[in-house]
Amino acid sequence: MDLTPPPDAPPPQLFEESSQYRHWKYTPEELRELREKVNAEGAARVRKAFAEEWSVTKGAEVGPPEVDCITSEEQLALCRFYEGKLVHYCNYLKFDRSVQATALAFYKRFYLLNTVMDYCPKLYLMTCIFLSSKVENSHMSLDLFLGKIPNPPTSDKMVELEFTLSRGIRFEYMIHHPYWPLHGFFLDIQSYLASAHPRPAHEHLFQKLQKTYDRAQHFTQLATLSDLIFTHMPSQIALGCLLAAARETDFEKELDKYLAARFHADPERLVKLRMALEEVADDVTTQGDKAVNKEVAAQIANKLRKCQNPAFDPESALHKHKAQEETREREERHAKKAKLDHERRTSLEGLFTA
Amino acid sequence: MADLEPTRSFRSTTSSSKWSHFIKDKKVGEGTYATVYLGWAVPIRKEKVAERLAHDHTGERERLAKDKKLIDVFSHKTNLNLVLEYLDADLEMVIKNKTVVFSAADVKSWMLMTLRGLYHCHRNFILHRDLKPNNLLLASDGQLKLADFGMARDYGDPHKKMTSVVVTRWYRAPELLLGATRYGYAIDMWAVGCIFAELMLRTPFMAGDSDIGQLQIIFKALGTPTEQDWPGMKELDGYFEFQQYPKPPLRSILTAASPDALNLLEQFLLFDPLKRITAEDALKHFYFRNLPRPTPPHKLPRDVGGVGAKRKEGKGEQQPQENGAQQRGVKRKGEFEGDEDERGAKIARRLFD
Repeated sequence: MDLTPPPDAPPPQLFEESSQYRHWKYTPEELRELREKVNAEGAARVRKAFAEEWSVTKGAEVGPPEVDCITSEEQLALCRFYEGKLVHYCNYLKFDRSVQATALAFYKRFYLLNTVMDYCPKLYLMTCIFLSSKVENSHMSLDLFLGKIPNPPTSDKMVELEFTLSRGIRFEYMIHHPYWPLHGFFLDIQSYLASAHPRPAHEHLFQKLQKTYDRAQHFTQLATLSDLIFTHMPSQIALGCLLAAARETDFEKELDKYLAARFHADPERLVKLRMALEEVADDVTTQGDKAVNKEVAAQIANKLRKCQNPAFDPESALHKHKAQEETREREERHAKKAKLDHERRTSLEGLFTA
Repeated sequence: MADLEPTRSFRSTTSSSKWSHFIKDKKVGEGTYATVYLGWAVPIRKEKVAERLAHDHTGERERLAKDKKLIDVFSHKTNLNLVLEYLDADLEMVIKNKTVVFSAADVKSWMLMTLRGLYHCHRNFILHRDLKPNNLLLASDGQLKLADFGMARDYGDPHKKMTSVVVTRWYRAPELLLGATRYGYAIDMWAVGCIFAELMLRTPFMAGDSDIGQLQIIFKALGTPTEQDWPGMKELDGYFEFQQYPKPPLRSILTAASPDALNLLEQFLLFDPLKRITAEDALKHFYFRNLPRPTPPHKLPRDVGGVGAKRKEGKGEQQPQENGAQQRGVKRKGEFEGDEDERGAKIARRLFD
């Protein structure tokens, strides 16, 4: 047994131990394939459910109609639209940025593995905000929360939704955001500037850094709306946002020098890091173009209305039929058991009376 | 050691598991939010390991995975089941069992493992907030593991208010007793200091019966702090004019302790949280470099024999119980009622009410 204290050994990469890295990190290709797969399976489920419902309500004589299912691109666009809504709601409910970022991450994770055809994107939007407020220590009571949102579900329903959501995100509530590392870099770059430049230059450089940091915060918020949370580490996202901001505030040279100073022992890693940062900077600066407007979202929502999985809707004929079947089976079982009990009792009584 | 190696990936089992993978055995305890059952893994994986099946209602998996090994999480009906490694002994049992003799090297080994576990938590921005011998579990190979993260929370933003009603009283740091709502890793270090002293004394070091009484006992043991010892103490909400006690040398209480142990203990029990030693610095303290070398875990004394028998020797607040595991399970019920704004509690309540 090795008993030397760990601080002397190179510490293991902390982030690589987190569930965010182990379970929720993908390459862009993996993300695309996973979405295709989830969508295909979801669509197959919907078609099957529609066919079942058809046979329940209309009988088997006529074939079921063709169902036009949502594609993975459509789901992505619809989710993107609702993610914009989510931000609005968080602002309206006066939650801070960590609640907002966590809610966004929950929403993204949930719809990465599930389809909007099975689970209503509007309901889960609210559920994500509510669960996130608890996870981020900004809890609002359920009644108060439901009182503030339009067309709220009942509180029982909300608890149920919350459970489904929790299962969908595999009970992994801890989300690492880029805000925290961004602040860390802000502090570290300050100490770098102080050590690398003569005192008279500090004032000017600090001002520039502050401007860059403010702008980078804006980009970081945009990053929480993107897929970056699946593809990059929070600290990479933070640095990438700083890079994007530095390009606007004429601070890029200093940032380069800072990176070179911090990575001087390992230039190879710096090259790799630069690539990752470019990807992030690229993504956050083009986020604005990816916004989905209301008309497009309404179109998809209309289409969605016709392909909601009836097996997941308690109001649907299929769901009601299944519930009936279950009750009937249960009653049959009970009747059978009661009959058996009765027979046994009478035979016993027969023994004694005989 | 106290789990500094990364835990294994859960990808293949997480949430895909069902009840059928585990067999539920007898109930071993009940906590504020959960019931604990002993269970067995069905030999799907060709192994039969005692595992702890907890009907746990807290969503604390990220934290649990760090220290006591979390094996699986799955939901069944409206229950959330956490499967945890089963450890049947804790440090309190060993301390209280007077038939077990332990040396300075043993104490050093337990301290080392505790501090490593805690260093890992703190490095991951987690405050444990309920350290005590009872929550330091011992595996059959002697490994010590931090447990009971029911009070734990993430820490990072020093400006955020937190509740001061945390940590079992005897191990509660003075700033918490004075109602501090902004505190840090130092509260865990104070508790470690109390545990350290308890390991050497074989009895709780500062056992108060009320919050004010606890402060009195601390001052009696360590001397009343002055403004110089602890700048800023007068700004705390619960501050009052303390009764003055002289500072007795720790040596007079811990007669058998070595000078390096006393030096480390003093640094754990500094009144000023900012001066109190950190987990990392404690691990680097010369106490751990000096002889005797810490005992290898598998050679550490174990609480052997029937648990019930020596439980009866227990003293202090806690009533002796038939079974040690049961004791651990039930002890906490209703202990921290004031902790309403905490995250685990909230998730639990809302999710499963």
